[in-house]
Amino acid sequence: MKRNLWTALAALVIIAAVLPGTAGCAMPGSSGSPAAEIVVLSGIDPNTLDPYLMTTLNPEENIGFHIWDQLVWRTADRELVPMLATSWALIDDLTWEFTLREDVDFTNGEHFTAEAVRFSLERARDLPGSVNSTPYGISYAWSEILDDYTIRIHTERPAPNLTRELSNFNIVPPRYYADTPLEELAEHPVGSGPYRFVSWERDGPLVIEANDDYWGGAPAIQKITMRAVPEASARIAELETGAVDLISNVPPDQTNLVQTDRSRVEAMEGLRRIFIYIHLEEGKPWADVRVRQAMNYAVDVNTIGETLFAGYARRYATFMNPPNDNPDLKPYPYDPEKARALLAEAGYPDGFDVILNTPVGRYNKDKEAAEAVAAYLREVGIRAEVIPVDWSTYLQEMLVPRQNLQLGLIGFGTTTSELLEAQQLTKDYPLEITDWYNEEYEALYAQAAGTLDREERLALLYRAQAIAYEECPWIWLWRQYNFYGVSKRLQWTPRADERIDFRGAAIVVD
Amino acid sequence: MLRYILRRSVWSLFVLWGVTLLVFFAIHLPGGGDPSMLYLPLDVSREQLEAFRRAMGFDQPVHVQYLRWLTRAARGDFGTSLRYTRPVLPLVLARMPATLELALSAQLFALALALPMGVLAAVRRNSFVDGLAMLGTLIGQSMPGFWLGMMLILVFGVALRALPISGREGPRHLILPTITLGTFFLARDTRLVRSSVLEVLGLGYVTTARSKGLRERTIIWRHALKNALIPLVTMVGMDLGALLSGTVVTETVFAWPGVGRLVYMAIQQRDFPLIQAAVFVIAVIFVIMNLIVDLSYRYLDPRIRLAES
Repeated sequence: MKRNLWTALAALVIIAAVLPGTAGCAMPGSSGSPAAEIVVLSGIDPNTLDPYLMTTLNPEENIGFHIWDQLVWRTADRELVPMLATSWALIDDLTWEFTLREDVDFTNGEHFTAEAVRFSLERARDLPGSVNSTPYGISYAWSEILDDYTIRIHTERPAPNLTRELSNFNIVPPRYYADTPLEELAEHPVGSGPYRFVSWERDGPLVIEANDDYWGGAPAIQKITMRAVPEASARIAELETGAVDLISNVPPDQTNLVQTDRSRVEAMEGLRRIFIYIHLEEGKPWADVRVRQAMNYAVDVNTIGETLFAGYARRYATFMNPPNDNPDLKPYPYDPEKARALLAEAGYPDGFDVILNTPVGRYNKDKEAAEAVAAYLREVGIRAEVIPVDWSTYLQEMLVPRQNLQLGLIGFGTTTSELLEAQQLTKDYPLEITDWYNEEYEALYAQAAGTLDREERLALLYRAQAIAYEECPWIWLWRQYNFYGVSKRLQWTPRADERIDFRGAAIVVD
Repeated sequence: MLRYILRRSVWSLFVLWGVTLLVFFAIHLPGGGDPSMLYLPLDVSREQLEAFRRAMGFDQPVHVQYLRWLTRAARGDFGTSLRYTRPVLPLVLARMPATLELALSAQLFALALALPMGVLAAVRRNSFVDGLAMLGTLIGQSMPGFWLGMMLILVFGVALRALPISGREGPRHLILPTITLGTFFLARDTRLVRSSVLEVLGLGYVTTARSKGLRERTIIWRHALKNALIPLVTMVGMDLGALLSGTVVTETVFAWPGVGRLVYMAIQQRDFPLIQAAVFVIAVIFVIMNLIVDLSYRYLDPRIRLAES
C-alpha cells in the first residue's frame, strides 16, 4: 500500500518537472522567415503610427519612412535627392517651388498631387498634440498650388534649409487622413511608400509588406515584422537563435556575442556628439579660456576610446558633423605639458577643484567615460570629482534650470541640418548649457541662418567653428557609435543618422 | 458573515486610499515634480514649456496636484499618460490579462510541484530525498529572477532552440516566463508544505487515526493535508502581491506584454498618471485577494469560525 502511494507521488513529481521541457521539443528550426521576409527587433514599442504624432526615431519613424515618401530623400551620406518632388527652386527669400512626380498613387488608390502636399503640411501644423510635427525651424505660412504637380511653399521667415527639413516630412493621402477618425489613423497608416501596412498588435508584432506597385520599383524584401524586446541580452539571444534578422542598440561590450557564424556586427559612427559641457560662471577658473583649452589638452580622448570602446570612439575636431565640418581644424591632441602651462599662465599652477556630473546609462559607458576624463584632469591638477546622477534628475533639475552646473557629460543627438548643429551653441538654443556667448559666433550663425546659397553658408559656418574651436565651451570628445546585430542572410548597411532603411536591402541566397 | 465582509471592505478602501497617498507623494516629492522636459524635444521654446506645464498642472504645488488627481480618480478618470497621450486606465487594464495569465501560471506551476514535493519531503523526513528537496528549495529561493530568466533563455532558447524566448504569441511562449517567475515561489511553498505536514503529522489526531487502522494514504490526504493547507492558503494570498511585482523583471526579460513591463517603463520616464493607475489597479487586486484568502481561511479552519460566533 505504502509503496504504491510513494511510487505514485514520485511519478507525479517527475512528470510535473519534465513536462514543461518536453512540450517544446517540436520547435521548428530557424525563424519562420522563408524567402524574403525578415524580423527586426527594437527596444521599445511604437506608441502611434500617425506620422505627425511620432516621437521616436526607432521604431516609429523608421517604420514610417517605409510606409510614406517624402518630397526629398536624404541619402545615407546626408545628400538630398529627388523623391516625390522631381525638382525644386528658390523663387524668392520666402518661397520655394517644387515640381512633383505625376505617377505616384497612395496604396489606398488616391493619386498624389500638390493638394496632398498642402494637406500634409497643414495637418501637421494643426494637429493637436503634435509638438514636433511641423518640420523644425520651418515657419510655414501657406501653400500656393499652381497646378496638380507644381506647388509653392511660402514661409514666414527665410528658410534656406527647407528641403533638408522636408526630407523628414511624410506626405499623407488627403482624403483618407481627413475622413478617418484619429484613433484609427494611429493604428492604420496609409502612404505611398515601398511598403504597405498590414497589421499591428499593440505590444506585439507590427507587420508591413512590399508595395508591388511602388513607383520606385518593388523592394526586394517582401515582408518586415517588427517586435519590441526591451532587454538587450534577450535581443542578442533572439539573434543567436536565428529567429530574427536585425537588432539595434547592441551594447558595445556585447558586440563579440553578435559576431558569430550566423550573424555579424555592423558598427556605424553616428551623429550624436558626446562632450563635457563647461558651464561658464564669473569668478570660476574655467571662465578663463586658457583653462578650458587646458582641459582639452589634458584629456587623452583616443586612449579612452581604445580602452572603453575598443577603438569605436575617436576625438572629433569640431561640434559640426560631416560633411559640414571645417577641414582645417584638427582634434586637440593629448598634451598634458601644454595643459599645465596654460593653467599656470591663467593663474592656477596648483589647479583647482571642480565637479563633473554624469548621467548613468544614458549614453554608452557614460559613467566610465566621465571617470576616465576626470582621471586625466586630475593628472594636471584639476581635481575633478565625478558625481553620477540619473538621467531624469540630470535633465530636469540641473540642465533645464541651469542649477549647480560645473562640468557635465552629455550628448547632442542626430540632427537634420548643419544650422541646427550650429544653433546648439547659441543663446537661442534652450539647452545651450554652457551659457557661452560670443558675439562674433552669434553674428555668423544669424547670417548663415539667412544665407540661401550653400557655399556661402558653409564658409560662414567654417568661421563659426573656428571660433568655437578656440573658445572651447566644451571638452571635445567623440561621436557615439551605433552597433547593430545582423543575421548573415540579410544584406543591409546602417546609416549615420540612425535611420534603419530596408529599401536597398536584400536576402542573400546561398 | 455579512457584517464581516462589510467591515473588511471599508478597511480595504482605507488601505487603497493610503496606497494612493504613498505612491503619489513618493514619486512627486523627491524633487521630481515636473517631468515636462522628458516629454518635450530638447529644443522646445520656453513658451511651449510653460504652456505644457500649465496644461499638465505641473505648476501647482504637490498637494493640489494630489487633490485634483483624487477627485478625478473617484469619477474613474485616472488621467492621460504622458508618454502614450491616451487615457491611462484602459492602458493598464488592457495589459492586465497578460500579467494575470503569467502570475496565475507561475502560481499553479509552483503549487503543482510544491504539494507533492513538500509532502514527499515531509513523509521521507531526513532521508536523502528530503535533503535533496531542501537543497533544491534553497537554490530556488536564492536565484534572482533576472539571472534565472537569462539562463533559461540561453539554455532552452539559444543552445537547444527548444522554446521561444520573447513575446506572447502562443502557449509555448508562456513556459520560460512561468518557470522564471514561479521558481522562487515553488521553493518557498515546498518548504512550507513540508513543515506544515510535519507539524500536522505529529499531532494527536493523526496518531488516533493510525491507531484506528486507517490507511496511511487516507490519513495524509484526507485528514492531515487539509489542516496543513491553512498556512499555505495564507501564503498563496500573499504570494499574489509578490508575484505581481515579480512580473516586472520577468516581463522585461521576456518582452511579455503585461502591466509589469508597462510600470517599469513608466517609472523610468516618470509617467506619473500611468504609475499611479497601475499601482492602484494592482493594489485593488491585492486587496480583493486578501479578502478572499481571509474568507477561505475561515472556511478551512473551524476554530476561527467558532471563535467568531
